Amino acid sequence: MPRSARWRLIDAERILWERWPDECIVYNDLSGQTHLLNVSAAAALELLGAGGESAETLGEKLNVDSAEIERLLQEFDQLGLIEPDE
Amino acid sequence: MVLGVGPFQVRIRARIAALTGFLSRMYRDFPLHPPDGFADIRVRLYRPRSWRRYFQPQVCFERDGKRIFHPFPLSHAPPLFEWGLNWCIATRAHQYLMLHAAVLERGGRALILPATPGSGKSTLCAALMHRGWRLLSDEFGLVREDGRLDPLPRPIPLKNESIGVIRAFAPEAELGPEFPKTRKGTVAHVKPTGASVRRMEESAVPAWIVFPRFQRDARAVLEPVPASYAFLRLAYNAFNYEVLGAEGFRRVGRLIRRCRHFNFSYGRLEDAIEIFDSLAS
Repeated sequence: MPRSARWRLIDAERILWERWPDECIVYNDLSGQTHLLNVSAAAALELLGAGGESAETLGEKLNVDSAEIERLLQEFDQLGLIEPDE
Repeated sequence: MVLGVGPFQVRIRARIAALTGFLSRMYRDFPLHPPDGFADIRVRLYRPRSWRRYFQPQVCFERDGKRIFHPFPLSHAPPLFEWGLNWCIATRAHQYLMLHAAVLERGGRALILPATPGSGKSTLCAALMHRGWRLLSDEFGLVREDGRLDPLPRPIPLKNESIGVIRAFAPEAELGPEFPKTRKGTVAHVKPTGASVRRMEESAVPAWIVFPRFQRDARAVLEPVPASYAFLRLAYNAFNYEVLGAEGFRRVGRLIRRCRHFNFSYGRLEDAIEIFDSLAS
């Protein structure tokens, strides 16, 4: 996936959240799956819910290495949580 | 007969002496409804017509005219009825989030003990019921849309050595007959206390979620656990979390926000009672 490709949360209204200081659990009503996220992953998913983001911009905003963000985006994509923002 | 069991009316058709005796003893405090009235669950237990009936008699369980499970030995009709009724509830009562858990109440607040292998849930549940806690259920945490828990008191099935443990711990407990060589070993049921049955229309507010773990002779230790841990263990232990979808997620989330959550290891029932009593005081 090109680093400049933009992604967004699949459908903000179908993703439900339970947040705690150290962790977060999200439910994807489209897949019926429940996911446990750490703080960084939850922050990334929230940003993707606010609008399209690339690995580069997400990495800058979260101060996380962009290679790590790319791995996270790939995982979100495989879980059906995000889609390309075209 | 139509028996009122918690929020359900159960029509039972059976001409099996062992079952009739079991029902009239274990369910004698439960309300009976008009036999021709509405029933949420309709079951029949019957002896199949086969050559076996003469030297190895069996019993079948039927819901709405359809047989469920393989036949059991006739003498095991009562445990078959109990397991069959569990199955009927677990597969149909989706107006509730159904936790696989024992639930007890004190002072209007409910203690949820999710079932996990090795937890000693039923033994602990029977012991608490005989130390002043009201039994809501040994098997189902029925979580309503508003987050409250509805009671479903039923006989508590004890297995193997737990039978002797409860006889010694609570000599006043009324136990039914022992059924040896069932699929779970020897099983005997503890009758719910009169107060648990009389108050079975009183719901309770969830207050504590405790994941018990029995370890012989272990010191009792109650440790808080993270909310996310409690959420996932509770959700994956529910009968119908996935069936309810987003609503299941919301109900588990509300429970977790309302309750304190703990892991609890114990080796003696007396220690467990003391800890739960202090939690509720």
